[in-house]
Amino acid sequence: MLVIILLASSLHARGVYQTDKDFLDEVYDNTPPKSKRIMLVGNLRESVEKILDHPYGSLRIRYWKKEGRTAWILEEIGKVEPITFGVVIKEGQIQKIKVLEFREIRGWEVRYPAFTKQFEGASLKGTKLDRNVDGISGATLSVWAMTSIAELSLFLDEYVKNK
Amino acid sequence: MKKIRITLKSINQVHKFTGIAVCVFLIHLSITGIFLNHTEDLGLDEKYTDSPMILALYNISMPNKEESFLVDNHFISRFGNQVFLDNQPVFKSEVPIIGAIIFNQMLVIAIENEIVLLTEEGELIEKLTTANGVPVNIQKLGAFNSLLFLKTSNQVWESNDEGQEWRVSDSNFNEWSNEVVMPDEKTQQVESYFLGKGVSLEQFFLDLHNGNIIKGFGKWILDIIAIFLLLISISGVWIWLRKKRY
Repeated sequence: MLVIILLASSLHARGVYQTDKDFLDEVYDNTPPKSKRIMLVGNLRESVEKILDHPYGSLRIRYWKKEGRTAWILEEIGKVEPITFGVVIKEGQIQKIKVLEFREIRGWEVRYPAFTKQFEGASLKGTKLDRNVDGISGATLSVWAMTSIAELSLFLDEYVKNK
Repeated sequence: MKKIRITLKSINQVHKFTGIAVCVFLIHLSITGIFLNHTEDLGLDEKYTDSPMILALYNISMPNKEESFLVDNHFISRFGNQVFLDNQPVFKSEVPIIGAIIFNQMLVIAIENEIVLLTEEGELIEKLTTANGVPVNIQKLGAFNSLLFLKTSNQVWESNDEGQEWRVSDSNFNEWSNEVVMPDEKTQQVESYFLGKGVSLEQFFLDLHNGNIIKGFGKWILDIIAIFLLLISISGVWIWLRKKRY
């Protein structure tokens, strides 16, 4: 019985929590701006690879910018499958970070606001976050993935600001 | 309380029944042992089996072949949830591929609510979703000159900027990307991604011999057989000594 309950809860944890479109509508009050894109080439590609410890999954990254806020929809591998995150940055600090789609069978606890709240207000110190993020037992790889994406989105926000 | 007496008769019984119990396993151990002893002579370490029954014992299986499209002599196909460019895995998709074309030196692949852009070498450029204005419920994909076309349930859409923006089309475009049958030779190339060379016969005989072929309790069965062999040896010596005394 316990096995059935545990299996059901892990299957239930997989899926789309919020679509990309709904995330952008929420961030920009139903009037999201037109998207912009960055090509990961040259030094930028190397810097991104350094932050993630591996190349990013695609050659092009898309972002949205309006009223001093940038929104990013990025993917990072948890254990085997990619997790889709939505991140909002304002004035070099994370305003919001969410799990939009979770495809793994473990580590979904990172979606809870009680956990993501730790990232709010975080900024970059070098290429790392300016604070330590408390882990979750059994969700270490998902926590690492979310931390990497927080660092990457802050770095890219800085990059587009200086472009 | 009844006293248990060890008699020649009871030892004979133990010897007889353990002998019957282990004889099948002894034959099995002897045959697999002979094969293992001559691994190099028989070249078992260089021979591989792709028998589905044996591969299933190793949890190696081939997912179902789903859709396939031909683009510039390259096959875009989906096996299980893995999408391939020829025999190279490129991305995962739980939903069917609707169409695949080459456009502006990029591979454009449409799935239900997404457009996936790849380089001609198969590197992922970007996935365009409804957040980028891609129409939902895509049913067909095509291209003509500098325009990309999508057909949804009730409309045809066109884009002149590599799928960044879509507008309703009033053209009568009708040259959609369609599924093709993938030749067996190409399918076999993809199979090697999932199955590798198969399982080496040396590994197979070794796992048969040590019981690892039955995951979990195979080694415990072999342990029980080993205990039976100890019993048969001890009881055999016991019987021999008792008979010698008379």
